Amino acid sequence: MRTFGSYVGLYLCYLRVNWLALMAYPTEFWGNNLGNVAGNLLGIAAVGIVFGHVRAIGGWSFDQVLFLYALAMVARSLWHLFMVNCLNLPYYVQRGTLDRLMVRPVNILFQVYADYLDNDDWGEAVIGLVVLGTLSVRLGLVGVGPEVGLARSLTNVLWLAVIALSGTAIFAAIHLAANTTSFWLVQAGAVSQLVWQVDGFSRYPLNVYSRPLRFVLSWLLPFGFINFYPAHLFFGPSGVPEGGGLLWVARLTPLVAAAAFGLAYRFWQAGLDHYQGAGS
Amino acid sequence: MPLIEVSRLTKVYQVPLRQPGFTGAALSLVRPSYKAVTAVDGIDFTIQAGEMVGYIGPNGAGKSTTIKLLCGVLAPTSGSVSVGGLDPHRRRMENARRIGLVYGQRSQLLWDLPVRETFYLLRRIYQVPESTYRENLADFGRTFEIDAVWDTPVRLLSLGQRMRAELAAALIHSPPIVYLDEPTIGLDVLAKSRIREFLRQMNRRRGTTVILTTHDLRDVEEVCDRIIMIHQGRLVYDGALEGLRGTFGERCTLTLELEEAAGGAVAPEVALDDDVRLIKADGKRVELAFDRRRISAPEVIARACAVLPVRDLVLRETDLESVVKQVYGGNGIENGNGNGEGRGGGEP
Ligand SMILES: Nc1ncnc2c1ncn2[C@@H]1O[C@H](COP(=O)(O)OP(=O)(O)O)[C@@H](O)[C@H]1O
Ligand SMILES: [Mg+2]
Repeated sequence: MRTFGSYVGLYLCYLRVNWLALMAYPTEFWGNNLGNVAGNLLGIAAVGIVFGHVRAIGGWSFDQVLFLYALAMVARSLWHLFMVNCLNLPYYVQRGTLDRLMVRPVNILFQVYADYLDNDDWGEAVIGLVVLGTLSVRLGLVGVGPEVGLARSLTNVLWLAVIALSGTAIFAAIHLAANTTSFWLVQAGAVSQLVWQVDGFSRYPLNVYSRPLRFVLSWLLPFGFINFYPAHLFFGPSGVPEGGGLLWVARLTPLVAAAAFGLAYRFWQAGLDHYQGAGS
Repeated sequence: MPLIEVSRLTKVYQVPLRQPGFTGAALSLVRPSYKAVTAVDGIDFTIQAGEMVGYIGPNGAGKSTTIKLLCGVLAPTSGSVSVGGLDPHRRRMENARRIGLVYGQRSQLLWDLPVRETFYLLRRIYQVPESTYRENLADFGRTFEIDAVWDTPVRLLSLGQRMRAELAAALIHSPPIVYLDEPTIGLDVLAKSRIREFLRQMNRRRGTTVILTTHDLRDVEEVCDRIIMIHQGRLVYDGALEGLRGTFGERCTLTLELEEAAGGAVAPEVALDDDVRLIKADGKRVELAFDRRRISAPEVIARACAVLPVRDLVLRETDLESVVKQVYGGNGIENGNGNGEGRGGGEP
């Protein structure tokens, strides 16, 4: 059996290989990341433009919406930085390159993730963290003064970390499930594209959407657990449009994330059993 | 107990059908339709530790599919595979530790990076002990001249250099079983013979079990003690190379085109003794096979021209396709058991 420690060592080795390969094309790295920074700044500016016309969206203030937005950015960028290669699964399946990973004594999904890191999303990670930090202070969730308190600050920081990691797991689960369809479908790329479109909905609070869409975003493609539900942990009953009723749902976030990834992983394993390779 | 046991092994691919147009694409998302392709069809064989087996057959015979089933990449549709007592698909990880795999057409080397980086990574992947790693590198360094390309990016290697690095990479964890799927494809004569020599050595010194699929008759002649031949997913011959000597020995085919169709009656005069054999004579075409080690090509041609009104001729090396055709069309599976001293035999 492979120990956890040996996986850490192996991962570091993969990181090295990926960075070396990246450094072979440095202009590409800088180009992609500058583009990424610009794209993310534009996204935030778009929220600002909307709030130039309205004072609240679905009962959420500008700062709160930006907080939700940044929370999703942090989770998305963590997923993107370390797990983006699952988007290439359709190629691995159709070209039969998964064969190579399957004859090695290492977890296959681990190899898929580690095989290629595009390192294109550092901009989103940094901007997301900065915005999230700024707004946490501005919204009174974290602070050094007596008005917030050390205990409350620490609790919030801890929850933020848990929520960000849960969000990463939810992104991972959704994209893994979407791309696992490539074991059965030739057009799996279309499914994956659709999921990316749906990700766009996670930029605004769920309560602005119709009931069916909200159901989908909560329980089928649980983007709502990346930012909308967990936000209820931080603002108190009077600070959110739907009151304290959703607090218990918010507390379920880590469980929902674990369950989502567990389900996606089972689906992936079923896909592996169905794998046929490619003709030579 | 045999190292590898394959029984009634069958693999049927479900090939998704692409329907044309947008509605077709949408429909195939909702209700995909498939066509069944049987690539391996009820194969039985066993292989003992330390054997060197040539797994041969024409293109599309099911060789690669069998290798994938042995490696645990594919799950059998029916029948069973056991490698060292394990089901290679269910116990993928354990099986992976003791196999090495070389594909002639696919690389496992890190394309943009120096050769050494692949070895650093593989050392971690297989958790190769420091001492084994050093020993193996020293060993391959000599045979495959890995030292010379150690710092060269893989993409700058010649095909021969790359293939040698590929072999070394597949063997760095000292696997007791090595599968090679068309490893010599596209290589020049020298590179091929080096690889053959290494495989023989490795088998002798370490007792490594080698299973090699190939198109090249020389690979099997020089490396393998035993041949398993398949055709359209079915086993047609399993036994010693000697059993196929008759067909393998005739390494050359001479095809004659005659002025008039009288050839059919005269041709047997050319194939008077055992050295030259008449394969086919219909109308103006006559096909002869001979062993170049026993009679030279000019001699055969001279003999033919003396008795036949030859207008044109083509001389070529016998390829695997025609050997298989002879075995298959002659006394192969259709007419009974595989010929020679068949071990598993074909269909009853
Ligand atoms: N992944 C696959 N999906 C569908 N059909 C396949 C696949 N791989 C191989 N085949 C088909 O199965 C048959 C056997 O192929 P293969 O095992 O690659 O033969 P070989 O290696 O002897 O050339 C061929 O008809 C081939 O087209
Ligand atoms: Mg093949």
